[in-house]
Amino acid sequence: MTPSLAVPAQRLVATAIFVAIVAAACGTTPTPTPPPAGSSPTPGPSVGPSGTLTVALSADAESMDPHRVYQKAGISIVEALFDTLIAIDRGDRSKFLPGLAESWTTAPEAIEFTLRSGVTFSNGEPFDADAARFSILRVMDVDPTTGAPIEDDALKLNSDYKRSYGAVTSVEAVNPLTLRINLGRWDAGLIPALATLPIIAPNHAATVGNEGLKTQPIGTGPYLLEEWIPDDHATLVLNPDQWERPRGAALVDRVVFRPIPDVTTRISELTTGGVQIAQDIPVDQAAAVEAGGATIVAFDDARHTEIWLTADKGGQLATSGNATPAQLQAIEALSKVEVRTALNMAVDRNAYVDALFKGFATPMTQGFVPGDIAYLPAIQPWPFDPDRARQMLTDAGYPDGFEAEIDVCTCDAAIADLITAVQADLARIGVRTTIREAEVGAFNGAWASGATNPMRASRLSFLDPNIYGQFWLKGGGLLSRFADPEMDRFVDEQAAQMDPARRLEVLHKVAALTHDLAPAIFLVGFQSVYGVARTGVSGWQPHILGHISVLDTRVGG
Amino acid sequence: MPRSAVGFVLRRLAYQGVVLVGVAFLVHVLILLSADPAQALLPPTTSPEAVEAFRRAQGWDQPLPVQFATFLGRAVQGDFGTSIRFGQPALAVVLERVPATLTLGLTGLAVGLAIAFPLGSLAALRRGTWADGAVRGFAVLGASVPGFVLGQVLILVVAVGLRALPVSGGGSVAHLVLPGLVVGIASTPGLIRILRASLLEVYGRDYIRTAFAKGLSPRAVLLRHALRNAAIPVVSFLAFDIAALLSGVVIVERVFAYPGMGSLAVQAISGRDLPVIQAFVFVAALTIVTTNLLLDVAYTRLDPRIRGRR
Repeated sequence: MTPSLAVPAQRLVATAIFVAIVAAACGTTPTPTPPPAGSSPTPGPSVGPSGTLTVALSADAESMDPHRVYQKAGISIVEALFDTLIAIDRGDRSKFLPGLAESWTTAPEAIEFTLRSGVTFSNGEPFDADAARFSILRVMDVDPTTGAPIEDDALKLNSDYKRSYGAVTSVEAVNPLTLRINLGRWDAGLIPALATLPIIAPNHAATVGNEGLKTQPIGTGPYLLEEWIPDDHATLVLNPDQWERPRGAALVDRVVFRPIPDVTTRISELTTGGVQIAQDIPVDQAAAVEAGGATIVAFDDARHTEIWLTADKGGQLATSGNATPAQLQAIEALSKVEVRTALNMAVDRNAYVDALFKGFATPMTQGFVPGDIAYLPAIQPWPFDPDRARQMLTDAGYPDGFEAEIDVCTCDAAIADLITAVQADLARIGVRTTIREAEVGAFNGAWASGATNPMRASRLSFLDPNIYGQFWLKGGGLLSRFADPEMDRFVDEQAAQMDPARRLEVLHKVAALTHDLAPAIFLVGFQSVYGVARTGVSGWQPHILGHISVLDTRVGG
Repeated sequence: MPRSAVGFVLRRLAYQGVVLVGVAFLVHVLILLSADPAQALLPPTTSPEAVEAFRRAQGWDQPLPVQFATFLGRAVQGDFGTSIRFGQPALAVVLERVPATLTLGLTGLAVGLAIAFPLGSLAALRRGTWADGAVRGFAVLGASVPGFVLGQVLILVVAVGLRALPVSGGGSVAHLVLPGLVVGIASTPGLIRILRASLLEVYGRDYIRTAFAKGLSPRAVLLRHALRNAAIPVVSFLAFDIAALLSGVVIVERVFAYPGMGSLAVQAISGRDLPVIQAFVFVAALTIVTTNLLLDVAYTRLDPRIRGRR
């Protein structure tokens, strides 16, 4: 789940997440810049794939079923085992590359893919339009035989990726090399969704079933799974059947992914050469990694954290009659844009970035962060001005401030310090908050059913702004407690806009509204931090989607 | 086996069953109390209706007693359901990890005994001297340092500093050394103290005086007579210690990224893989209960006085 309300670290990134951009700038040692292998892949015979690359992940894959893998750790493995119809460029998430589809055309009523011929799955099944159709229908919980939605709840996959396909009415294999996705309406989020949908072998899937797929992945990808000892390692070997992939070339012949949950151990493995790349280095350990002889690569993959405000006077708490007078006062106060703006002016974002994130973060100025396509750099930050904020509260009728509870997921321990700091800043203008911790199930359930407290913390990241807009920003969205007619119109307009440039204009209007209407106290965008060995590995670069891509990476030398 | 012994074993087996059902019930209730599993397993953007449908499909809409009865009925047949993460029978998933954890646990035990016997004997024989003090100091220190700290210190010194052993992982004897040491050292303090106390008691006995009187060397007295008798309380302490050993292994496995039952359990808890959590707790409880049973039975063979008392 990802954009979970509070994205649990576990499933954090899920879905769609991944927005991102290389943060060349952010202060730390820059990304080692080898010649971008992506631009000159295809090793000649003299420099064929060789060696073993070992990668330390912070968790193991949830599963080997790529349609049920949501974390960055698992996606790192999935990306090496499977191909997608189209691929997102590692360095530019608005750029799409050919994959199993050589080309595609878009129209309001359909997307049509021309598929690559001669590709086979690693079990010998041919890749064709039927195979591609199978994978798309599978995440949609549609029966490929009848083309009708699966009714039996026990047979549904319930993939988190399903929500991206709401606009799809049917999927047709026009001929073996032509796939047509029919749309009820245009949805700008569909292309990014398809660019992250692994294509699996359909006959194999039918044979082993949903359960079997959790341990037996069969794809067309650059690597094959040789062995998976859960919580120990997954060993991948080069697929002998290679084709030239625009997204990157396989340059090593073995990849070992090792889940090492303990961060100190992960760093020790990195500094002793046990692994060449390590995921998820905490910011306070970055110096230790450098001192140990490895390089820190910091990378802005557009993850951000904020505290959402009940701004629509709605939700179960407000309407049930069970709310305390204090809660009702908070809900009333938060419905006023002056109050929400005052809260945004009361928090010292720069201090959070320096003290809590050691510079591996950026203060938010709006609902988007650098790397989100909707991010609008021209928006000026809220000034940090507690005095004026207090005055604004007084002017709005709250000279003594008010009380509010903040829901925080226990899965978000990583931002506990941040929320505590925010709490102190808010207290300074008279807004007295209480943190209410909830386990992820209860937390998400309360949010989705509208039973949340007036404030709730989240960590979010999105593949495309559309899901964010539909679920968080639009009035009536499942997780939205904010309603503004103009925002609703823009959110719908960007989704329906086929022209990327015109869509961007609309998205920028959405971004401006997130600043002006402040549906949340937007806090910081934080970076992914990796450790990379200084010797023995070259060419590796972070991926904008936040996982570790092993393509274009060499070992030795 | 005499009838009284058979009765004793049967009674013990019955107790064991009660304990296991109790454990199963507690785990079941605690998991359901901690959160709504349907809500936790599905993406947050799932509509309430879809969450409800999923809950029905999983049987989580049933009253708690019904759910538990269903669970218990299947559990006695070894069916703990299908792992949400692996799509395989939960019990099989857990049992697959037993050899790795057993290897680590036994290595730790061997290390613990190898450290405790010489040190415990030394402390007893040199009672009141600086050597006794040093050993007891070591025991206090060993009891106070948590496994995850000791593990990291060993990694930093031995694996990172000296580059003598691998940092983490499993699969070879070298990989067992550091985690084995941590598990072992964790159990030495208790062992040393029990052994020391027990030896001191044994050395006051007549048969030890007899042994010395017939001219045996102190070394022979220790090895042939004193240790054997002093070891009995140590063995019963070990049975108690199995639970501590098991929980220690969970932490140690995480620090060393060692693929045993502990790693599996931690992952299952964070991933809400309920069938695996239940199967793990069951296997762990069964291990502890069975060890105690075997020990009790062994006592009845070793020491008839115990049999009479029960």
